[in-house]
Amino acid sequence: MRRPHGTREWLGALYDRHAAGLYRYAVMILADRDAAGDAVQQVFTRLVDRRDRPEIEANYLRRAIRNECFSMLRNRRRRLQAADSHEILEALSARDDRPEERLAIQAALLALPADQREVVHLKVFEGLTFQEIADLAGESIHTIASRYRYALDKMRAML
Amino acid sequence: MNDEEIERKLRRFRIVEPPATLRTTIVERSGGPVVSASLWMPTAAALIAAAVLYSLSAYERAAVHFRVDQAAVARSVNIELVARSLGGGPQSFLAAKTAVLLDEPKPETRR
Repeated sequence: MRRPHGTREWLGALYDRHAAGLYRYAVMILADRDAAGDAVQQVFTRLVDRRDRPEIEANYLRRAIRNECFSMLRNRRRRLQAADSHEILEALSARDDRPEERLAIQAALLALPADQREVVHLKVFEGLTFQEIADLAGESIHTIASRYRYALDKMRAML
Repeated sequence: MNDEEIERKLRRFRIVEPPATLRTTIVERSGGPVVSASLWMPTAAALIAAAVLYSLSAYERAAVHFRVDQAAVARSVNIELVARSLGGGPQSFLAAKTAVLLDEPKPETRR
């Protein structure tokens, strides 16, 4: 997306195009809605200074939010564990909501380590292949596949 | 429960959307024209470098001031001595001042 020189419209268009996806990704890594909002804000704030990069691609943003989230997890572990904004799932529509099932799946997701939750998100909700996830995470495809396997095994035991 | 069933269960739900206030926080409060760091960073770096060099040169500046003060004192003593030897009047001081200044070593000049 080409940036008109330093305008709020540029940031607004970029936000409308990518923020929801980035926020959901951050929520799944951090398991914390408030922290996810902080992470998205950090990424977009840094973009303002990237005048030298005329093309901001989805992959670049995805990598940026990933780095930000794992950095937050390393540096602010105690605060994140104490946060109470852990309602990360919602029904596709109010009519289809099954609160008990939703809470059980949510609990199973929250019980996973962040890197396993990330793989589940990218595979199930974003539809990425293991290879694409491996490229994003900078890991081997076998590592990613193993993480997914461990995640599903753990969720299966909890559900 | 197999993998497909777990995935199907997950897909019955979606991850929460960002709060509406997040857009306002990020976009609206980003202000008008964005000033890139590349515009102000060189100036800031130059100012910081100047401040560092100025503080690092404090010792040298103090030494130079000391030497200049010593030279001024020595010059006035010499003028006083020469003026007395010439009689001590105002004309003697003027002549002594000229003589002392002419007698001082000149800074080397390059061709």
